Amino acid sequence: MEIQSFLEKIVGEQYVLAEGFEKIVYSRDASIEPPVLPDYVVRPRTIEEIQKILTFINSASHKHPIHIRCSSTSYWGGGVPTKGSIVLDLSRMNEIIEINEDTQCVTVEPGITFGELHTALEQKGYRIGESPESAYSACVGGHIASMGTGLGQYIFGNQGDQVTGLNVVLPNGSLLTTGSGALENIPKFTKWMFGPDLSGLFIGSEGILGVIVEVTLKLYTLPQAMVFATFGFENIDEAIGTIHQIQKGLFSIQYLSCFEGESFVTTYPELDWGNKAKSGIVLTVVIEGKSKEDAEIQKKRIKKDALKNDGEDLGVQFSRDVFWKNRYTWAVTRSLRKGLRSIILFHVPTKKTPLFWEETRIIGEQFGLKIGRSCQARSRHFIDYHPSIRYSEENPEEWEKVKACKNALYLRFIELGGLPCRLPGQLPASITHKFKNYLDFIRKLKSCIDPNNIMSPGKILGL
Amino acid sequence: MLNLKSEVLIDALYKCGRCSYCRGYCAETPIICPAYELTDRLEVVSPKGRLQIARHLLENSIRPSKELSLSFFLCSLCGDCKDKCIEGIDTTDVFEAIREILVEENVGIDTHSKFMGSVVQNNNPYFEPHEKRFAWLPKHLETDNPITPEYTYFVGCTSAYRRQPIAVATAEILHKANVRFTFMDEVCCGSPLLRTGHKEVAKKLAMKNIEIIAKSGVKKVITSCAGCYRTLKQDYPMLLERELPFEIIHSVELLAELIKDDRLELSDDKQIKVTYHDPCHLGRHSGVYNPPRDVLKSIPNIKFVEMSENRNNALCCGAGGGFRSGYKDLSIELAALRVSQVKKIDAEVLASSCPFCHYNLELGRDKIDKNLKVVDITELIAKRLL
Ligand SMILES: Cc1cc2nc3c(=O)[nH]c(=O)nc-3n(C[C@H](O)[C@H](O)[C@H](O)COP(=O)(O)OP(=O)(O)OC[C@H]3O[C@@H](n4cnc5c(N)ncnc54)[C@H](O)[C@@H]3O)c2cc1C
Ligand code: SF4
Ligand code: SF4
Repeated sequence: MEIQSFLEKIVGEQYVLAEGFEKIVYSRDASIEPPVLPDYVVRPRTIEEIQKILTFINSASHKHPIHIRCSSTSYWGGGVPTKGSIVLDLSRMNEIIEINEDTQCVTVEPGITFGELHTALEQKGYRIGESPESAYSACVGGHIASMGTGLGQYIFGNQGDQVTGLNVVLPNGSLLTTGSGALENIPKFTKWMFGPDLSGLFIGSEGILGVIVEVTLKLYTLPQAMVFATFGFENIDEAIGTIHQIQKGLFSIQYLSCFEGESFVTTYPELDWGNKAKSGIVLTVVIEGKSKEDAEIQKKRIKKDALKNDGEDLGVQFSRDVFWKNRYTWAVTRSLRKGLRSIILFHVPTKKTPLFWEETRIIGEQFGLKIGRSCQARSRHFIDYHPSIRYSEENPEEWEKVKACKNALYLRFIELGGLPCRLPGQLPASITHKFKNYLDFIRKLKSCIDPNNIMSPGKILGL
Repeated sequence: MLNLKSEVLIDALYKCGRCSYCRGYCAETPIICPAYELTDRLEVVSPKGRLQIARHLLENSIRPSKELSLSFFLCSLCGDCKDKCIEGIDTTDVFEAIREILVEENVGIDTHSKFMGSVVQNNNPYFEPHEKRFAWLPKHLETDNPITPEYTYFVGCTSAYRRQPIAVATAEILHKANVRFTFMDEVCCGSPLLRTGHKEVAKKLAMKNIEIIAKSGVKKVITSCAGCYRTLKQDYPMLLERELPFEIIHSVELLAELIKDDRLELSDDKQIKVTYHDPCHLGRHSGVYNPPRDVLKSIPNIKFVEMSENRNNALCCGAGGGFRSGYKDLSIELAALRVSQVKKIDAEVLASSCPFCHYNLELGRDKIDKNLKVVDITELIAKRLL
């Protein structure tokens, strides 16, 4: 009770939630992980409030774990609190602090959604470099803390690459500014300073080292022209062969993905995909150009690569405006209409992708599950491979089976040389010993920055 | 033990993937869930949050309570979340079903039970005597009953008691266009009760109205209220599990026809800039988007402009779903938010096609800009009748 009244004193009574039904909605994210009720939910509005909360928790005799939450669309359990914890809900911190047209950077609070940010920026002719497919609902803070990947990344790099500075409240309540903004009177125009990259400590940190309370990102002008191309392939080897060719060329790619034709085609029943698409693999590519001609020239070259790999031009077309308007309801979100899915996300060397593809089928069969297979090239250097398993939460047995299958995939993929882009809460020691030194270093870092281990305990492999 | 029998409901609750799209933001819909926005983004009243709570109710891991009721009643049932849900969940259906349970468990909203009492007693939720239902009717229209009417005009409680000029305008237009129409001794359509968890009482009203209409032999029912329209057209057949022996038409649909057939002659006036607010029950709930726009565009010297939040992306006015009676201040705040979207495009007139929207938008207008005219489309037309 003492803690509740203290929290209420900091943020106001209506911004502390303690009723069972209220806490339920903060007990899960978009992942398959089962709900865990926190003790309290606190909804701060200012940096100072967060500083006071962390200072208080750190000095209290009972140190409640703290879990940070923006929109809780995480697919990997980052938004599921631990027992007895306090959830820090940052959705009220949703303002744009500054659009700096000189440095071409935007500074925002962590709880702003990408949808809100895009709307404001587009009115001024700007965009940010990368946004997740969950852009309408996901927040900037959550995306950075989960090392987000997404649309635009192929050209501009991932969300971490967009950061030019962060403000972070550390577990002891002090405020740290990273990047050039650390120096008084200098705008946050680059994250590179003398000394190590401190922003990097918090990118992908899942909240284990502190609360990101302000983010500065690079701005770019809006795309001029875009063309769309779709190709059908008989098998994944041909499709990946084409992607590898594309990765070797210096193309300006907004979106490049491979889906199993059978499921992809039913996701877009209104379009005429032809037979090859239905039985094989569909590759879609959106090319950005300085002009329509520039984009068309790139498309011609890509088509040549596709045909060389026995691909067929499916001829499905969208205009720049149609793609741009629908880019966040285009693939992942649209396929969700067919039901819940649990997703695994691995970065894999491009040419090895067919191996992962086949292995997925084999493991799926072992578990009696049909695993959807798709991948995207969000970089010139590797593939984002993200198989997904449909499941129903109504059926606990199926739920458990999917979780077990997911674990099997994790283990096998790591063995095959894939990089788990998001880590589950636990992995067996046989796997973690493979990056023991790396984990030990993070552990030491965490114990220095957060000696009482109050920040998101357990969220990165038990750390 | 809660009784959530419906397979559809159970399916919906387990389908939610907690993606949060139903309370997200994009250029076309800067605000999806007004309740979430008005409460400083309180997840408990977001559509996704409500579904999570509903699921726990279903699983009996929490019990209904007055406090929990807030999560389901602080919602105008505007349907924007349903429109945006990527899993295609009929969210408003779920919310209505849960409201019913909460009312059964005696943890509903007091103001709702009160107006329910008035409906039972007076056939309207406004505590007005039933005998005064047609007090608005001008003498010359009273005697206008044709022997073989083609239509009956279902006036609805709000036009009958609170927005009488809309009833007068509708009747005047029908009269002028030589539409053979009559009135009926109607009772409340039941919309406010259906939306607030009093389904059984609403069913009785439905049976009563259907009986009256069926007896009259009329095959077409016109209504100028978006709430009545949705209720008569969609809810009645569901409630009574049978097709209705008559057709339901909204006044704007008929107006569009009458104008197309040159059955209305309209006078000129000085040019005004008019925009249109899509009532949730007519727009998102029923898909009627074009007729009101066709009507407005056909009025001489009206410059029709769209708000950027229009059609399925229109922001709710805050009146419906028991929101106004349950949370008056928030409801007016929402109406004011809608009016501020009108201000962005500098329209002089905000037209709509629902007396309940009209009622609330006027209150919202008063908070923002008293010069903005809030009208019903029927009023705009009636003023120009030659
Ligand atoms: C339909 C759909 C599509 C998706 N597509 C993509 C995609 O294309 N790319 C992608 O990367 N992800 C995707 N995701 C997953 C998810 O949306 C992203 O990871 C998103 O960036 C998470 O943002 P959020 O605001 O929901 O964060 P949350 O889920 O609230 O938080 C994510 C993690 O970050 C921590 N955290 C949150 N805020 C802070 C903060 N301010 N400081 C420190 N730590 C913090 C949390 O504790 C948690 O561990 C998708 C999800 C869905 C449902
Ligand atoms: S119906 Fe409207 S107010 Fe209610 S939850 Fe959905 S979007 Fe929010
Ligand atoms: S959009 Fe649909 S599936 Fe997603 S959180 Fe909302 S109700 Fe659930």
